[in-house]
Amino acid sequence: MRYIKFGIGVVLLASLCMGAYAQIQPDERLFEEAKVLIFDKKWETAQEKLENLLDRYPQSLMKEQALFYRAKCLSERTGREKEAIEAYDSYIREVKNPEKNASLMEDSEISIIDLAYGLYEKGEKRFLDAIEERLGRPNKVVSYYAAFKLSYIKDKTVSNRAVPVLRRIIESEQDAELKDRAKIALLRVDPGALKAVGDGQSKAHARILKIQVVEGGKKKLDINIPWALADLALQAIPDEEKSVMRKKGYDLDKIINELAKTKSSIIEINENGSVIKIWIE
Amino acid sequence: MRKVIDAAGLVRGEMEKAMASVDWEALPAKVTDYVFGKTARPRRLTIGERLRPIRPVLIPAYAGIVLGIILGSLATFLILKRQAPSAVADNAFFASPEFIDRVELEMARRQTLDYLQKSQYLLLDLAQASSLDKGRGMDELASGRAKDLLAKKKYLNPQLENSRMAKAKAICDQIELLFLELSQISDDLTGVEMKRIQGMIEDRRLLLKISLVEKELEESEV
Repeated sequence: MRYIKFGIGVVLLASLCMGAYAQIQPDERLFEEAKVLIFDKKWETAQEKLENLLDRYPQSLMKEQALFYRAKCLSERTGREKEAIEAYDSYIREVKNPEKNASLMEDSEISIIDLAYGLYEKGEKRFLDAIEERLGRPNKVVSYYAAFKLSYIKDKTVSNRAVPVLRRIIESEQDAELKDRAKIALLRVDPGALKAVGDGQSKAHARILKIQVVEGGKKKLDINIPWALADLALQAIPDEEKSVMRKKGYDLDKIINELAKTKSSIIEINENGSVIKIWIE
Repeated sequence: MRKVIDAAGLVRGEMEKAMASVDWEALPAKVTDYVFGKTARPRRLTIGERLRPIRPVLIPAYAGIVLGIILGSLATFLILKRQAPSAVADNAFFASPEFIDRVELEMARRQTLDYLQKSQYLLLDLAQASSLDKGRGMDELASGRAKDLLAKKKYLNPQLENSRMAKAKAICDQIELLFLELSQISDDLTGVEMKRIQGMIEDRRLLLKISLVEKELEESEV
């Protein structure tokens, strides 16, 4: 009987200790609540919770992550972009173990690029530096993203600064998706540079896909695009011409197969005075 | 009448005087000498004058040659200049900005579909994971896949801003937040954390929403 009582006592004590251990700390609770609000895109309320946490528990283990999510809340709120950049910068400075926080650090850098781009487009030219300085980062994702983002800037003297990184992606990157993105970005910034880049692919891929749509004697569409982007380009042909092609029995696969068969293949579709010509050189 | 006859008489006298002063025999020789004398015997050029490259007499000819060279060069330049762009254009890449936007949108559509499909598999694994899976390295695997998908999502962001991708953007952003969470806590993913993530997946009907957006993207080619 004495052993049974002792056993019950041990079990009760253990369960009490376990309960106390499992009980969530107030800073943790605040953090979890904020994350649920963020998940539901309630940025302002989430930001308040996080600021509450940072004020009340400055030594919290959640502090670094709370700084990151606070910056995220600011970045989603219109008119708070500059504060968001500062908040991300302050998170990056605060991180003690960059390896453990690699994903959040990377996300912060990318968010800074996005925010700086938005401010630059609104006329705040000084934010261009925040994008340009990230072109040279050792982290490939950050450097590539900065180059892709720069390629959208209409001022060619600025967007041209992305060319070396874009060329490097085409020449040395293994990921086909990234290569295609870099090719499109170069096509936008400097088509001449794209021609000069060798992507290590076969000669077949170095060929040019040409698409011309002539309507009433005038060129409505005139494109020279790398063969590697053929399926994307054919899919991007305006709806009107695509429906004409479909009517004549041509779909994307059929066109690609026919063009790939022989070097000199040319597809010519005539319909109501308009001529669609597709060939490769 | 008388006056006229008298005046004519005066002229006649003067004419007779002038005619008498001319030496009619020597006159032909004098005229011949005067007309042909200079050209028949041109001034001889000295050796120095002959060797001089620009002689005053040839200046018009030289000017003509120089003018011809200038005009010829100009014509050649203009003809070649007109031909050069077409030669380059035949082999150069080009496309209008609008067309490049369409190409990019098509690329975004395909890659968003790919991202959603891969995310769906990962979320399904997480939704069905039990505490037993933790021991089998489930959280480590999930973390690696979540990190890959996080990187993929970053490149999608610019195209997701397009209004035609609005629905896809909303669900992709939610998934991204879950993956960020997963990438942070997976080192020691406890049963409580796993339950919380599973709760988020189920409460927000994430898997259903993904399937619906996937269907829309499959049907809506650019």
